Amino acid sequence: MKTVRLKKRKIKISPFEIICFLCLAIYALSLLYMYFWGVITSLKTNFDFRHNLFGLPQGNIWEWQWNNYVVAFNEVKVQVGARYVYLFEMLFNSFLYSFLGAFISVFCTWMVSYVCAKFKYKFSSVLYKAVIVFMIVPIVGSLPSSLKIYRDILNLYDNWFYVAISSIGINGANMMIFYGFFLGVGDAYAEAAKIDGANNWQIMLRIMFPITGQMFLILFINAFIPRWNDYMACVIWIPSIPTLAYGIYKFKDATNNVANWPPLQITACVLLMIPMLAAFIALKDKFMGNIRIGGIKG
Amino acid sequence: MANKKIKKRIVWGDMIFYICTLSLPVLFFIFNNFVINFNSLIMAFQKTNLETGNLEFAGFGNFADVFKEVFTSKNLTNALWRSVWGYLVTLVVTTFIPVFFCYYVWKKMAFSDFFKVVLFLPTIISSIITMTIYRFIANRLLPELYLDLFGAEILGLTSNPSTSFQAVLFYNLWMSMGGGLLVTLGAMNAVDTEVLESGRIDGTNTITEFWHIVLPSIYRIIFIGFIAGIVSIFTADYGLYGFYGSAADPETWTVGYYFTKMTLEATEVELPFYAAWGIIVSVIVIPVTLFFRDLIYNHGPSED
Repeated sequence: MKTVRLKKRKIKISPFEIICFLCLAIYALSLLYMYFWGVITSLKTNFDFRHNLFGLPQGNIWEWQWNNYVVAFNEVKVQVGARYVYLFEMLFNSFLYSFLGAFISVFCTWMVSYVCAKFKYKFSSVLYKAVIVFMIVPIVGSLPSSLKIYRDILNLYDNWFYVAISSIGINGANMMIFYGFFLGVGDAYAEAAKIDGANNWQIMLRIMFPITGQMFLILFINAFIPRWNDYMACVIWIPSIPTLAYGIYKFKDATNNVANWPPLQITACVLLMIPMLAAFIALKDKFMGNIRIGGIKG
Repeated sequence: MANKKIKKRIVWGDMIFYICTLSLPVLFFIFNNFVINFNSLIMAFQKTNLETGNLEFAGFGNFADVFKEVFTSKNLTNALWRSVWGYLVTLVVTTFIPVFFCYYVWKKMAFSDFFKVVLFLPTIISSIITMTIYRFIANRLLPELYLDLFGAEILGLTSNPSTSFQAVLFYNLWMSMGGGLLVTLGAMNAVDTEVLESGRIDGTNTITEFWHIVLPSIYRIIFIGFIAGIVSIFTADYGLYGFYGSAADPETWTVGYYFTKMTLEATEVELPFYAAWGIIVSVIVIPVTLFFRDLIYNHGPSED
């Protein structure tokens, strides 16, 4: 009869690990509590909020103020001139602003990186070096000049053209990533395609683009998130095209009777959280893809 | 002969493709980096003649006005000290603590996947949301808690001018713990596995592995925050605009907030003053940043 002996594995836990775990646990709980507090507060009445700051909303779960979401949907609005922009339009603006800006920015950088890496003209290395220099050298305080040029001279202030045009350009960090990748891609694919009659555009878009699809998507998401969350761009450049983040920025200081109810303001925040959290849950691996200069791992 | 013709045609085809693909991005790269900054320089030397409405050469007048403002405006001087203090605290807390967190996640210790997701949350959830919720926590929840625990009333932390900057700074530190998580993890993934393996054979424990192998391999990434932070002394508003809009109490101002607020409220006549301000800040920040960058990149530690 065979006896199976189970070896007792000794698990070593160092004090370093314990301290890190405790710090991380406290930090994670404090962060999650904030979001949790936000969600439960969004389901309270104003009276409940004043008298029951810490606890769950009063009553049974179906008696909680789910209606706050409907009210917030109708009350989160930004006045633009003589009209109001409501949540749906802000959602559309947010999506278009983020998608357009992120796509144009990443695509331009991708294209320039490919061309600079594969076409060894002198200008390619000059351009690459210039982009890196401008990434390293911290030139600050150009806001007055930008305002003067975009607003007063080009008249591109406060319209969709500004969103598109200001996104065209070359992002230094992204260029380093794409450029490093393209240097590592052999010429065999392009040469084989050339023999088959493909032109440069077809090689770039039909062969090189799919190869870098994963990297492109991660960098696109990385460009999309800050745009989605950005409210300062609306404050400075496009106040007439309010995005959701700008809507919350305005709504949190609103003074009319309904909008300055704290639970309603927090409900609006939770509403803004939902699209990005849903996208994160669906595309977690893409959101958290590991990035290194010269390539992307995982 | 025919070969030469084909070669020439291919080269010209390449050249046309090259020009077509690069022209627009390069044009805007030049516009955004050269034209705008050059215009900033020109503006800094201009002044609007209030009688004629024309722009005139002002010499170093705007620069003198900026220095005068720095030395005479108490709000700006205080804002400068506040910015430096904010930078130093942020540097110490958000540069070093997240590295330990990242190392924990990288080593795949207990619940590391869960912590990775939680640390990433502030990146995907808009700061305006967390600011709004934090404001209620700091102004309603904490005073209530304080009253319950100590029986004394305190003012809301972000609404009381004497605590508002500290409260805003704390918010920034709290939200920045996961900052650079992915980049630092990427750098840790690039640590040579052979070095790690030989370290294990030599009997390294978690702390010595972290200190002697991982840290020297990723110190450049860590110090990016330090280098980038130098600029933030003059540009960071620590979310003051999100918390207070343009109505923050002067006791809370930072230089970045002051500059953004004033530029946005400035009339066309006042813009050259702020352009001169930008030039002065760039002149201070560029050499300092490049010096520290060179120091860190060329004279840093290496793996033992």
